[in-house]
Amino acid sequence: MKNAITLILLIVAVFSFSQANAGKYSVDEGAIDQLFTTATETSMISMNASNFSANPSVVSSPLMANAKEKDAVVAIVLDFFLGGLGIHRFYLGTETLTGLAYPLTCGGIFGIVPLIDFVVLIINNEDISPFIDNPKFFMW
Amino acid sequence: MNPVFKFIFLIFSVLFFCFPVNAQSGRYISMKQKTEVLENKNKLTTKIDLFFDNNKHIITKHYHSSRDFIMVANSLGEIKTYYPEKNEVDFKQISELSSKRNLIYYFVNNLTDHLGLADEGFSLESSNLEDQYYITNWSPPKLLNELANVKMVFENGFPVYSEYLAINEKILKKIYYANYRDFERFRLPMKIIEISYKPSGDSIISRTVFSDVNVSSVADNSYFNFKIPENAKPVSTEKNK
Repeated sequence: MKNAITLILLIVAVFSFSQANAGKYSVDEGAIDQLFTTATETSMISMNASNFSANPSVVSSPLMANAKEKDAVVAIVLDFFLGGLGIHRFYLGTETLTGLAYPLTCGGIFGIVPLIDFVVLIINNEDISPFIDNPKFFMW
Repeated sequence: MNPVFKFIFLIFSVLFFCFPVNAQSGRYISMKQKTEVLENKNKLTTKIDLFFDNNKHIITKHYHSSRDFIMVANSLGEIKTYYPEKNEVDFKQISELSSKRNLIYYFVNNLTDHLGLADEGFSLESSNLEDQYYITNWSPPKLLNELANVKMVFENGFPVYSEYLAINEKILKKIYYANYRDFERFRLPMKIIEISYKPSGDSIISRTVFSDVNVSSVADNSYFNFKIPENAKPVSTEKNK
């Protein structure tokens, strides 16, 4: 009987201790709710362009301008017919040496790289911006 | 090289590069987000329909505010903002708004051990156990010289609390992650409460609640492939001022 009481007390103590710690890194949601309930709704946040232009670090994107000019279909067609020569990379924009690496490596490591470029361009045809002006040999 | 070996090398190389692409396929996540910000007893509420394409890392948000707008962000921080009412479009590059700096990206891709701190240049200083919590302490990069330390607290492997400490040992920010729910391949806190302390002693409380989370293998909503109309006019800089 004595052992049972001791065990129950121990379990209660452990449970109380864990409950006390459980609140250590959690917020009092009731108090937060109360604060929001009593607050006055002013207006909906308008995170429009004016917010961004107020930030001096914000600049227009030259990449985006390029993205508008480059056509995924053209890049895919060039890759299909002339991928081994790296013509699609010159079209998308890259370092001269990167483009030359295709013919210098037997058509981009025996055609593997242009083949993967081809697949990646098809998969990402909606947004090819990561591949524009990409200086890496493996553009994906 | 023997042509047979060359052929085998080609096949294995293609399989090696193609499988990770396929393994990532089918990760379209949509949800509703409600964010309330409280300052000086004034409350601002924003409701957002959020769409995250985890293949292309493109996040599309439809803001429902006094002036509805749709914002599309990619991993480079290139932001396209479209205002349907006036058929206007704006292009910007804001690295802070990159899809890869959004909390959703870190939770969906199970990068919950640092929630972006490692990508921002923070380095892990120490870690310890405190009851059921696992605690990590991160030191900031040199550029953030006002910040002394970031403490992250994990429970059952997921972050429940973050604390940003200034060099004067004052707490700058506390973030609580609560109400975790399991989804296919990831867990997401359905409620995030952020308390930022101003030098004056006042605080700004932000409460974000996610709901209607949907995970799909197909882009079942047009927002995943949102296209700005070709006849949209650019927003003039005068209007932005």
